[in-house]
Amino acid sequence: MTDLAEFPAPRRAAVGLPALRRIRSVFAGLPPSVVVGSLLLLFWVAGALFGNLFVPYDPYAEDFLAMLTPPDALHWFGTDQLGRDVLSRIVVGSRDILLVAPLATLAGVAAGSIIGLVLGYFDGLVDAIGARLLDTLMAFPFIVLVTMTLVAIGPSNLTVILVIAIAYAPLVARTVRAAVREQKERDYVSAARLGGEGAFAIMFLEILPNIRETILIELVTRLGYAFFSIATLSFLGLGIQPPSADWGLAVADGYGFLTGGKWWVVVFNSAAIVSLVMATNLIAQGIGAFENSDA
Amino acid sequence: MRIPLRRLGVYFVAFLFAIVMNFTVPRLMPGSPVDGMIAQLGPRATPAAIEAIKARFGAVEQPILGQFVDYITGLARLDLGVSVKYYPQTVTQVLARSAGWTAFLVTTAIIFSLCVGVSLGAVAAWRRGGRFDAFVSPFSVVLIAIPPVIIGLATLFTFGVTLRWFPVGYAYNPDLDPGLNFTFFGSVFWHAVMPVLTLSPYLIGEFQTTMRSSMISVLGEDYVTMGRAKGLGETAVMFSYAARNAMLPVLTNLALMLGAVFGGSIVTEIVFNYPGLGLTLFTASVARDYPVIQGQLLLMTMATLGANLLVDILYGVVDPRIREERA
Repeated sequence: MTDLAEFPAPRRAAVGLPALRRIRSVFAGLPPSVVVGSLLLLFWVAGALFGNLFVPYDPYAEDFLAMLTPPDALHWFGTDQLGRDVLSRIVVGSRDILLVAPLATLAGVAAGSIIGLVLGYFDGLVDAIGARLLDTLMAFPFIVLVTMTLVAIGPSNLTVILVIAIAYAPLVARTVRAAVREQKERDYVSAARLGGEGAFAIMFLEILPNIRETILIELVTRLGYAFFSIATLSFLGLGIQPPSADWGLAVADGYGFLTGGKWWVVVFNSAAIVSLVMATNLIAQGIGAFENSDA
Repeated sequence: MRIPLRRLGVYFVAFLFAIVMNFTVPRLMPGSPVDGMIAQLGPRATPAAIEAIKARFGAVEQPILGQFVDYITGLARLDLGVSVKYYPQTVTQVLARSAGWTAFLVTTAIIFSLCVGVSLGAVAAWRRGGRFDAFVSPFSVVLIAIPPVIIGLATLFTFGVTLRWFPVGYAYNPDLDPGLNFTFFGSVFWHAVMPVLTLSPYLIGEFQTTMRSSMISVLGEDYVTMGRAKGLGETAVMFSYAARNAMLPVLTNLALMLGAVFGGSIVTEIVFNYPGLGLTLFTASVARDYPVIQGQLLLMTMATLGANLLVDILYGVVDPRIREERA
């Protein structure tokens, strides 16, 4: 007698255009929040790369006859204080932040992971001092230090990347250290040690692949914070610099006109920032839930 | 109540770190700060003026060790130097003027958010999977993701500019004389509403999320079953048994979030033109008023460390086990 389970369940016929089907197969099995977040992120990446081919106006062209015009049929999102089309600027405005935030996050997470691996793996004095130091840095108002450093060395894309990376490294190190300490007790680490592997081989070839989920979640979460922080720094004039069409810069420029009832520059650019942060958070949350359901 | 020496050691190292950063970072600047000031003077930079500035703002020509000794002895006398922007005033004077407003704003926002966030989190955990939980909990995640700049601008535009419910700037009506009377307090309260509402969403979201997950794990504990078995009402079990114990991670989280709260207060104060430390830091960084920025870093470090210490103490109040361990 055959068991019912041996019969494969009837497969639903694939619906939709071939291209759509292919896109769906890429996302198959991923949580919906990851799909929505990735699509939103992809939209902004596409805007940064190819946006200038599609936008209705030159994002940098000034028009002194159409300064701060409210949204209408010609300018869907209105124009800014120099008569530049807000919609066109928003589409290409992600260029700098999409370069600066991921690089800063990657650098910070890489440095933090190495520090965390070393501190977590070695017991004794190294860890005792390192862990205390990380605790100390947690209780430190980084925003003031970041402001101070950026004023001192002057804001530019490179300095923002460096400062954010340095600020993130200890936070990442803390999480990675905790994950390493948990892994260190497992049998495979003892086995590797008995097999004569060196400390660095165990750290980077044995433990690192086993904590990659932790690092991945850390990477995506920190990326969200990086978007958030860099937008704020640009608003303060300490982040991305003009003439970039950056959203944070645009909000800072439009902010002065808000009290006069000219809302469109601030509102549309703010919405763009929020969508980017939200997209990243959705992905982070989805990955977190996915990994948990796996375990 | 005793705080473990180890924690005090951590605070001491953080303070040392702030002192060292304070000394080091300005010296990364291309050119000395004094050169910048002389350049600002333009045609007024007579040799006498240059000499006066050099004498007043520290002998930069000294070897680095001598500078460090000068700096430490200055700190010990609470002398943080002279502000560049508000020239005759000292940094201590400038900071003293604005610190109170930030303390007021941040404390009000934290207390308000604790009440709202903890209650929402407790109820969401109590009825998890219910309609309340399904709405409030994802909403908290959204709240955490919105930068305070944006919440501030949205609040300013909606309630300040369009509806004209609240004043759009300053900490109180400048026509009033500050004094201990009802009108003045009313004005201070009225001016604080929008800034507090701007700082709160992030905090509420964080508190709600932490409280919910902590409460869910507490609800599985025996003493909650015991409380129910004793025949206590739902509310009594929820608040006196479960919520009280679930508060601990929320307090830890609060201590870790203080840096972010200060960050939020900086942009909030800029958006609402609120005369606190954040606005001072912003004007100082625009004017490259280095002594003020340095003083600010020290002050905020001390405030964060002080608040962490307070959380350590509160921990003991909420959790008697810790109190006994330490005694």
